[in-house]
Amino acid sequence: MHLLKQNKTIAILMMVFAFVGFADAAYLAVEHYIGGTVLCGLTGGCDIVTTSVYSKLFGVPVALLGVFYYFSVIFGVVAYLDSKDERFFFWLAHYTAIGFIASMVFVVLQVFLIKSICVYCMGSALSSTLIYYLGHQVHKKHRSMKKIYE
Amino acid sequence: MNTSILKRIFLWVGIVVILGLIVVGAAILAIKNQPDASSVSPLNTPVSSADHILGNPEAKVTLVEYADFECPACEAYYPLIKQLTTDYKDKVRFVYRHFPLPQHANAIPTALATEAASNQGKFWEMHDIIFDKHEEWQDLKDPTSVLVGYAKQLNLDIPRFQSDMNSGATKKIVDDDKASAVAENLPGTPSFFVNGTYIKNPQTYQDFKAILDNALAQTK
Repeated sequence: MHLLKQNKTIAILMMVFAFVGFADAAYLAVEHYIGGTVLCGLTGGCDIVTTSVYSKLFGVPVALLGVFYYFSVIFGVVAYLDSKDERFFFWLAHYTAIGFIASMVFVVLQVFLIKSICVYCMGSALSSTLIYYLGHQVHKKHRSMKKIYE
Repeated sequence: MNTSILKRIFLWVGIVVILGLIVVGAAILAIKNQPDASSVSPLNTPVSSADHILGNPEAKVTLVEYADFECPACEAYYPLIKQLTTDYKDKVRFVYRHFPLPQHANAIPTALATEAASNQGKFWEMHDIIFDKHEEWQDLKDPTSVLVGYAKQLNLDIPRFQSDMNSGATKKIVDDDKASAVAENLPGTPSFFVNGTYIKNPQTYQDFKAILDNALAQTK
């Protein structure tokens, strides 16, 4: 089985953005565990967001959930490149909506409830948005190809 | 081994190595971002009778804390410091100074409330109630009525408390504390000095205890 050339490019781009998001979320998660409440820095923003009540979901730091999400996208892309299964990639494209929705919720929380912006969190939101955009392209292509064959 | 199997192994191992490097890099960056003790000056404003002191005023070991009532990290340290003030009340002199950070809107009103309470001899009582009940005031646009409520609980003279909260003299005390923190180049709050030397924030009660025990041993 051969990979569709365009899908291969999308998959690689998706993996690049997922690596950026993974690095971002990993940094926040490590910061949380080694010194999350050690000091409120003078510049503010990040410490307010990362120590807010919204920084955890069922006791798990949101940053750690981000690590798992980006890890799963990277794992999914590698599995696709390895298996060359287009159907799997189509499902992975749907899965990226989870990261996008979660990021949008967190951006709304920062702007309207926490009223502070954490640059790392915004960086992660940008990564997940780009990943979702790429996933959406896969979805669109899949639908147009389906129409051709119908 | 055929090329396709080698390619697959290379792909998976490569990804695992990259992920591992990212995690190690994140850990190194996070550790580097911890406050740098070398950039902080020694305590340049000596402890005086104007300071808020708890414990033994004649003790040979002094712990100075610069804090902000709205800072989550200061709230996290509050029970730990409270425990130390009980356990070392005869051996250590504890000093609290204000360092209200610009991003915490209610840090200044709460600092002013403790100074206004101090004028009626109840600084530490107001300090404790503000930390204990931070959830009641931290998200308010104007925490004044809640702070006045605490003053009532402490049986303070309310008109005097309100007038002191708004006085220039009270504001100057908070501003002077903040100016000394800025002059010491403190990276944030809470920041601690033991006998005039800045210490990296201890992670646990035991770590803090070890630092104080060590300082006490050096005075013998």
